[in-house]
Amino acid sequence: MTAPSNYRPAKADRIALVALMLLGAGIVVSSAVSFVSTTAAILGQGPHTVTANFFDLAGKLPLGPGGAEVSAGVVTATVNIPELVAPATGLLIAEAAVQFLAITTVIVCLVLLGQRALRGVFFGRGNTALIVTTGFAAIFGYMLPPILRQMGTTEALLDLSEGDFFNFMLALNPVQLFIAVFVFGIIATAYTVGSRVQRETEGLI
Amino acid sequence: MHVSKRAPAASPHRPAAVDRVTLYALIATGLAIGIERAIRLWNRVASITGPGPHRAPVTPRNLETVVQLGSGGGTQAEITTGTLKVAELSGPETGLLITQEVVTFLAIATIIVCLTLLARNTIRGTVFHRSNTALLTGAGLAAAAGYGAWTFFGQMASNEIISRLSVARPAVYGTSGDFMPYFLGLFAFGIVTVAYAVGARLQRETEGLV
Repeated sequence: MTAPSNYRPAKADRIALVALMLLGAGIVVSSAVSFVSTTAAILGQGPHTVTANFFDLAGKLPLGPGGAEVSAGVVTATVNIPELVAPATGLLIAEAAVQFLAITTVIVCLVLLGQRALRGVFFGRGNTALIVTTGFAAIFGYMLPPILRQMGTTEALLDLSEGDFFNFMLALNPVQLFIAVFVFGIIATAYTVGSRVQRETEGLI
Repeated sequence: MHVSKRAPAASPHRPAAVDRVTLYALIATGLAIGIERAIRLWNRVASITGPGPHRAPVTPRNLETVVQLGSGGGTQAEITTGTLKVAELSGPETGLLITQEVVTFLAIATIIVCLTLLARNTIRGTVFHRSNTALLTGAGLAAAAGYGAWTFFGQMASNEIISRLSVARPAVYGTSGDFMPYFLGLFAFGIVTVAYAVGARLQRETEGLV
């Protein structure tokens, strides 16, 4: 672990870091409340409201004058399910859990990074590891929950339609993944380089 | 030698070959993303301004209908996102949909340019500098603006289409606003930017000691 340096950030930077850490704590608390309430709702008595994605399911929407129906493709809709089957329950809880874990990991890593910055430690293998972990948690937290939700709602709708409606689609835009890799890659590499430069110059100061 | 604050001079501490290769690969990824987004923007604008029918996304509110699940009976559902096929788009709808695409593209392009310049500075060994802090802040602000513009202009266009089709029935106008991504983005970029800003100050203060 990198030893704390003698340098301490300016007062304004310390206030900014503490404010951001408080914001992080608030986000974790809000996510935990959301996770617990979602899990309780999934495990509780029906009917359950699930949000399902469809691949342009043909439907009629009352959007015309006076509520007249117009043809449309339904992309997302919330559907009331009287009773959730076990696989749907498990998958929907897994979605909420992964989301919560990913957000918490991102926040904890960044809070630790902020804490190290407050101690004057900006670079070091520990900081690089924290940034890389943040990146991976953010990417998994963004990509995995929609897949789990889609699997869960597929099970629920299959049961609701008595095995007649198999609605599985994955709308994953790889460009978003590349953008995330690009952003986190550049920041993480900058941290790696900074650590090395710091190690090389330590003897000179 | 003239040293500009905007374009930091090359540092003697250049990154290792592996880091330089990684950064060049990431810059190439950024360039590819920019080209792909530009082609997408071109196609979308051509489609929006071209002859109908157009497929327009709508995000209504409190819009209940029966959806048919398989060959069995239908089930009641509240539609949160749908696609409407409209014969033609009105002027405001066209303008809003194009603005949504253009502003989002500009935001992504800004992020790519800022981070590419940051990578270039890092390759030259300038990891901490005022310009790097500014570039990171620029990327963060562009990300926030892009996300906001995408949801705001998309929702405006959706409301226009619903209003025109239903002859102004505001009960089904949507309002989009999930603020959690903003808070998460603010938090993540805030922590990293403060670390950069403090690092730049630390470097300036210790430069005289080396």
